[in-house]
Amino acid sequence: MNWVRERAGLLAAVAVGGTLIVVVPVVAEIFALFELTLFLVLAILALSLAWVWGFGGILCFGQSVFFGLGGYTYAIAVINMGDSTVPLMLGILLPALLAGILGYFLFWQRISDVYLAVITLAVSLIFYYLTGASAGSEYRIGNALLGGYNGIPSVPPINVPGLPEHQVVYGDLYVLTAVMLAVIYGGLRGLLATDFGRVVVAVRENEERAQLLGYDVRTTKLTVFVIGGAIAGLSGVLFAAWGSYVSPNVFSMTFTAQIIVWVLVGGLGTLSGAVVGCVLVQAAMTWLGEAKLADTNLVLGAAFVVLVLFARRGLVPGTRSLLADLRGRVRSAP
Amino acid sequence: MTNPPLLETIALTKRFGGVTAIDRVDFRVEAGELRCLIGPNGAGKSTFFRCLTGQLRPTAGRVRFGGEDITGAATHAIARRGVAIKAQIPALFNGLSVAENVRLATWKAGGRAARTRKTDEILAVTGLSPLAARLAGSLPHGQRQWLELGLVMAGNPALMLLDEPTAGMTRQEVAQTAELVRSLAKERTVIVVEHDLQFIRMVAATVTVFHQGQILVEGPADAVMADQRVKEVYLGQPPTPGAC
Amino acid sequence: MDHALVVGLHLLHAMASLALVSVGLAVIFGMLRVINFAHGEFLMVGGYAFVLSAGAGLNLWVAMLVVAPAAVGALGFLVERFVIRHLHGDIIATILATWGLSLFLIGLAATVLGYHQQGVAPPFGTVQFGSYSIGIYTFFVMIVAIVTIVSLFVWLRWSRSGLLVRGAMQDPELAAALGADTRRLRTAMFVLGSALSGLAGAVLAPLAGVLPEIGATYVVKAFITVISGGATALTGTTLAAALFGFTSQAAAFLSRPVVGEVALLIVAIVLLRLLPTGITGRYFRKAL
Ligand SMILES: Nc1ncnc2c1ncn2[C@@H]1O[C@H](COP(=O)(O)OP(=O)(O)OP(=O)(O)O)[C@@H](O)[C@H]1O
Ligand SMILES: [Mg+2]
Repeated sequence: MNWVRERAGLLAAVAVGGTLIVVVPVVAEIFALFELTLFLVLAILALSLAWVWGFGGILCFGQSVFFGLGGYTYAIAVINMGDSTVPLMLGILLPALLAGILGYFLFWQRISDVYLAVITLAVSLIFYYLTGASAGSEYRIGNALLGGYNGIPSVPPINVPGLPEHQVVYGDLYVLTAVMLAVIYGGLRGLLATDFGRVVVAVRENEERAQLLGYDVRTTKLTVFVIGGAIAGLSGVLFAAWGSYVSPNVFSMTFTAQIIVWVLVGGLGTLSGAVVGCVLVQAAMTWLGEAKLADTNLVLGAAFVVLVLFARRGLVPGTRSLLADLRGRVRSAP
Repeated sequence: MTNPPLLETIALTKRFGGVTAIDRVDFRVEAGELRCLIGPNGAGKSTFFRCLTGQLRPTAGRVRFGGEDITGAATHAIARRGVAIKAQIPALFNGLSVAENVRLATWKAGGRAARTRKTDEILAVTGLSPLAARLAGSLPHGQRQWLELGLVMAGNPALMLLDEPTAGMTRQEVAQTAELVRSLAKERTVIVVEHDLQFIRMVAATVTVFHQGQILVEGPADAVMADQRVKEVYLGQPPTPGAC
Repeated sequence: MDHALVVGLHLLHAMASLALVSVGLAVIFGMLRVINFAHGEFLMVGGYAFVLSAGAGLNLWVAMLVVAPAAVGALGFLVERFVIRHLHGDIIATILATWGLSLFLIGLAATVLGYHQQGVAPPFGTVQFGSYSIGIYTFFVMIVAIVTIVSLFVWLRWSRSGLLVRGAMQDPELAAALGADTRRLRTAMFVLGSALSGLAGAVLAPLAGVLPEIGATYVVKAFITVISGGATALTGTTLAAALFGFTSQAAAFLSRPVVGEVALLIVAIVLLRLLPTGITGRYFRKAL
């Protein structure tokens, strides 16, 4: 009983995850499934920021850079190669590499949160401008035309490794994405439970104390950042494969803002919160967009302000303490 | 040939803009020594410590530890060589539990089991075992001091720097701390910044007096306390217990 | 010869516009340390206030120099009073709330006015330098930038209220202890910064046009300029605006406008790597 209580969060995650992976593809309609796949793809991106920001303490306003780079890398590579296996890996490796370079730049000198935020934002804008300016037939990499603000259309889907004719689409892509999400969620939780994970949190809590105990804060942060970059890259790959399309919009400020909202809505400092927040916000936005009741920016912005003013801790921590409260009350009742 | 001193500074200087907090300090401590640093407010004691740990980069001069030059080395690298500090304002992992705080400091102990053992041991020594599950951020000041002392002890360092370890402690706790520091100093070198006269007498150490960033006097506790110049820098009075 | 002159004028104009875009933020972020991510939207609102009131038949100059700053100043008052003040200086909360505000304002403008560009033709016509022509309005932008910065500087340096502001920014507690109402002072400064942003938005509107999303083109540049300027907000921002305006315009001349934008960002990143405390963190410490 105690065992169950201690691991309630994990068990809930497993239960929800299992349902999502096994049951949904059977019962959901094809369009809903398509939409849901997108939510899960973006949830992976949300997880990457929840990890980097909520646990690593790195306020990165450029998580979309790694996402977008992953998407572009995959799109360009798969158009040239045909088989998706290597492009998928490149789509993870290249963003991780960029995160490494950027992280070296950022963490080897004491830079305040604000500087870090602005520099990461600047990098995402650089990508936005550069990809946006790539219209015209001279901007091609192999067979792939970059296409400026129109982006790259007709990106081939992921296929079973070595079998280009076995494409992973619709229900299969959904299952693949859900499994990836589960693996990453579990992996990050596992990582947090290791000694390295404790050091990551320690660095977030007090950099100076961590240093004084002999921990190398710079490499710790760099590692966190690279892992986050790789995860965001994977999400970008899945995104490009899902919509067969990638465009400079992935580098835009609005998109970056969205990632931050997901994490905040769910609650900073939790992993499950990022997933919940992402799915809820995206579902709400999709619904708003379809219902055309109000401008998406208007509603999202208002929600953002209200959230910060009145519910700073986010959904998951809020719910958790509410549950603990209720439990306490039930127990103290005669 | 005698062994080189465990710690030696050569003309160590630290300036903040126009303020010279540490002024050409030549200081040495032998291995196994227990040393007290005293001096009026703003004398530069904490700054001196922070230059030793690499938290501050000295403006000029050198720091040698175990015969090797560590001037300007990264804080974590200096820590790994065996220098540990309890800061004047306790620096803890506020969002983590007391036990987790200690555990993070035990990485030298070895594997998981060894770290757990070490953690329990430190919690017992500092009297924090009953509070192991509390968040460090929720501890009252006195217990924060104990916890930070625990973190410093857990790494089993060759050199311990303690910046006002008894601030905010009760009389009885001061006596306990003095006892603890004495026993710690049996196996390692300890430098303590302390204003508390009772404490200094109890640990019966050599005393170095800082004044305006320079070393004013150095010698056995009683001789230093009797020194006219020391009385003068403390405005004609001996340092009163608890002043800081 | 004419070519060099025209290139020089364009460079000066780039510096002046960047200074205008950033000066409101220099007050709000540089002095008050409020990270206002809705800064770009403050300019956007200023632009609309000008374009709409001029379109409704108001005198062009009144619309630009009075209505736009007043409107955005009022907006700033509301924002400070109902949002910023309640965040108690929490940096992350401020970033997020103002970002939300930015989205909200974009959405509001789009809902009310639609997602299409509006504008006013630049007044004054053009002048001819040999075979090159250049808008006289370009000179006007430079003059507004210079007048704004110089009068701010003079006010802060030599007036009693300027001294009060400087004191309160440097040590709020001390100033409060000496009897200054720092809360009202902060509100007033926020309103001033907002009004300056409104002015900038209006002055630039004839050249850039206005649309709900135009803020995004301003905000990052403004932040980079103010941050690179460093601790002494006004001097720093002016210097950084000169440096970045020059770099981006020169790069744009040598290749294409987009390269200019990218060059600005890259110069800023490198600059901050070399001087993490900004230009005035290292030099010009005694300035304002
Ligand atoms: N980060 C800093 N920036 C500027 N000046 C500093 C800084 N740290 C210390 N100082 C100055 O250096 C001098 C020495 O300060 P320090 O804290 O080392 O004194 P101390 O001997 O530890 O005093 P106390 O007994 O009050 O702890 C003081 O004048 C102080 O104002
Ligand atoms: Mg001190």
